[in-house]
Amino acid sequence: MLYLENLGKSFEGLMAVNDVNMMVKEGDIHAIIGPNGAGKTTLFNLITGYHHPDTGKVVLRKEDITGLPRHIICQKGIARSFQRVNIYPKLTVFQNVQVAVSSQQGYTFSLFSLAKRIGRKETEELLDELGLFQYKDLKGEELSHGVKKQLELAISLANKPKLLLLDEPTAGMAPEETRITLELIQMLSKGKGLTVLFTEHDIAAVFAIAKRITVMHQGAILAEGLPEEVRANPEVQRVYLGES
Amino acid sequence: MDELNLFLGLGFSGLVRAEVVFVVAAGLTLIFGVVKIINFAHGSFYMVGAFIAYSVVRIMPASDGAFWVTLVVAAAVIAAVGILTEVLLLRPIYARAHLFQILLTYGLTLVIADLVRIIWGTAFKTISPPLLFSGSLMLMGRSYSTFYLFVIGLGITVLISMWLMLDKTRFGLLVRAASLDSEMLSTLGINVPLILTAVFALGSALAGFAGAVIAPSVSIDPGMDVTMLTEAFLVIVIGGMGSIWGAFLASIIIGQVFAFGTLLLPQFAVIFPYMIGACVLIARPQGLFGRAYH
Amino acid sequence: MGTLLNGPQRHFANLGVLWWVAVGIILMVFPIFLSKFWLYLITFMLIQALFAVSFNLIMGYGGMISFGHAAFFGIGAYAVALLSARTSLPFALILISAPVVGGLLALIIGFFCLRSHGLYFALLTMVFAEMLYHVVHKWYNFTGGDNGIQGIPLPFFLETQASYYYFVLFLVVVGIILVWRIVNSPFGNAVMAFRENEERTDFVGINTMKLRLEAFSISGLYSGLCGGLFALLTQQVSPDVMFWTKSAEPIFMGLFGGMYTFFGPIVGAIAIVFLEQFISAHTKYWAIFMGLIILPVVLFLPEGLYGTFERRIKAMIRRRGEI
Repeated sequence: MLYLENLGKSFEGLMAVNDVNMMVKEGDIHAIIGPNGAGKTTLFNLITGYHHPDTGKVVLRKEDITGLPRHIICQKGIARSFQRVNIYPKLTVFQNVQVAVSSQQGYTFSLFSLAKRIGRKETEELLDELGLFQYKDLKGEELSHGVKKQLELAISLANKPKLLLLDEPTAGMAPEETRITLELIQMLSKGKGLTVLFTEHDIAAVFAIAKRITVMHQGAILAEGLPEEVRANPEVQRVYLGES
Repeated sequence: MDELNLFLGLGFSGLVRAEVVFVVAAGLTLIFGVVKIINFAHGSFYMVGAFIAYSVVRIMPASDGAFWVTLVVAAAVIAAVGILTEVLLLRPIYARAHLFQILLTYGLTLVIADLVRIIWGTAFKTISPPLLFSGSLMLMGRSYSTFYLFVIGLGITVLISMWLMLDKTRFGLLVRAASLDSEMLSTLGINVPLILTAVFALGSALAGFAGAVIAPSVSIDPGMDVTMLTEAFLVIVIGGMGSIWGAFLASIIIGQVFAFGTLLLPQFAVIFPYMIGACVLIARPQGLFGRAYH
Repeated sequence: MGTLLNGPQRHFANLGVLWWVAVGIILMVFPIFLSKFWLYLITFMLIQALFAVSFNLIMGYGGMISFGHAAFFGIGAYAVALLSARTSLPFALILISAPVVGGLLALIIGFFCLRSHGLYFALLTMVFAEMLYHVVHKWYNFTGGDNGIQGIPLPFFLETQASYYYFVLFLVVVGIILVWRIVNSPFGNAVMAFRENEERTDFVGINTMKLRLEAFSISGLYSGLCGGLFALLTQQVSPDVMFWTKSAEPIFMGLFGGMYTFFGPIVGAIAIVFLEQFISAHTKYWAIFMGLIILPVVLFLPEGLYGTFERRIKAMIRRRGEI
């Protein structure tokens, strides 16, 4: 599904991402872990076109998408959620998702249809699926943190992506919310055939649902493989136990 | 040789105008770089400085010292106005979107413009240059007005003083720090609001000062604020917002482009600086020396 | 913002319909009893209202401040003036030229300016508009320079004050309704989304540059139309119509009335035209009063007159609904 080749990016002399080669298989739930500053978010930024890589390529389903404009990358089927919650604070929950739905349906530039009618069904279905229907008339800023994250997930899904990038999806969540979110991710992956690539600090969460794990450290890949392999890897143990 | 004379003359007058605009623009860009505000009333401060100079000269007995007094008084008064503006009007709305700050300072422009008309009337005024500078100097076969030479020298002095202040003094260090990360600075216990007020006062004082400096050689009228404002904006937009050196370079470029533009197309010369501005901005939206802001 | 609540507001909706009918009737009968002067003023007010409402598409809804719309307003005015004075094209074509050139100019200027954001964008638009002002001001042979162009003719069916009033009323009402549709369309939602969170909007697959350019061009088109109507109203143009203070007008009207609502700019336009008229009738120092009015509004009423009013009404409705 996604193939990263020799990806590299430095900021003012600091190598944020260093010669990363990675492959994400279709339908997998693939996690990237690593201490803070390992370059996980930068990697996401490179994949989604937020930054241009200095070296290397990003290939989505055999198509080179390196350096394409962000909205085109999104249209090609990658959606992402952000570490700090990135929703529309003054729009209602319904409108938040509707914008994405109408974008996906290609209605963004239609000037004279009434927005209320566009994508109403899909938006409501999506809200329902993620348990957000009850909030649909509340403004984004009025939601609690956990619900905001769910909203962000809904917005990402509205684009009918094939690859979902989640940046720390359970950050700041209580254990119960975390559990729900993880279940949701699994359900989405199986139910919609989504490939999920996510970063996390919560190691337990990672081992609970990830099929493959990549460990990053200081911008480079330290280890990659099945969860048991990674858990047993002495390098990984050193980095995690030694530094935390 | 006639052409050389002409070129030198043009270049010189372009330089003089550039220096005045530079001093005003330096104040504006300093304020923007540190306080992060575009003060539309900056041109008004310049204008009021000129009018103050006029009043001072009228009140004082005709003497040579009068000119220097105007400079001091204008700078001081405008600095005070700047402080009042910043504390009373701008501080309450720092948190709001840029638009409100722009609108507020624009509203201030309206108030000041009419106040000037009320106090001084609408006819334009003139004052004569101080005797000290009424002569001319021969340099390399051409005579230059000493007053204009003084203005050029003053502009360069301002440039160097600003640079020295920002680079070498403790205050300058605080100012630069405030422009980069004022939150961090306040956690270090530094009174950041005081710095912002001081910078605003200093920047405004520069505008008033420039008005008083050039007052003897221009017609002092209530439309001065707009012409100066647009020139200063052009300068800082080309030079890069927040950069003093950029402002200096840009003002010189514009001054020369305008001066020599009058040679090519006298009618439309005023447009050339804008075209240069547009070109620079298209190629490099943050200006020559500006930082790439959002 | 254009979204209605359910339930209790249905009750108010009937009042709303009555209100609009009343307004419609009043507007239609104005020419019967108003003096020429007042009719002129109301016509001017209608034009300003359209100017403000369409400008708010990019300001209130899009979060983009442009200081250059005088250029679009002015070019519309000059297009009408020049075509009327120099050619014998039919009136319909002359009128159409105003929004067309306004929109085209906005497309061009927008293409260059929209590569920047926020304050830089605002200043860039100002620089471009200034440049155009100077071109028009100095190009004596073509635009009449300082003197402008006088004596723009009106077609025979619009020669009376009343007939022109109805003409403008019709166009303005249609124009406002179209803006309403645009604002409530998916495009309008996308524009608001952009204002709220540009990054997020990129990531839902929306080409934000295209979005902004289109919004900017639409507002330029409307500004051009208003300029054309203004030229026909005053039957002359001068470079003042492109001066940057003209750009400030829709900004103030939006601010004063409330730029986060649809009707705010209209209220603002009405209020400011009346205020200006009232003040300049009593003193020649109108600028200082305008400034003194603007300052407190900016400081204390950021939502504008109508905006604050709407918020209070909505809160009241919600409270009633809860009882």
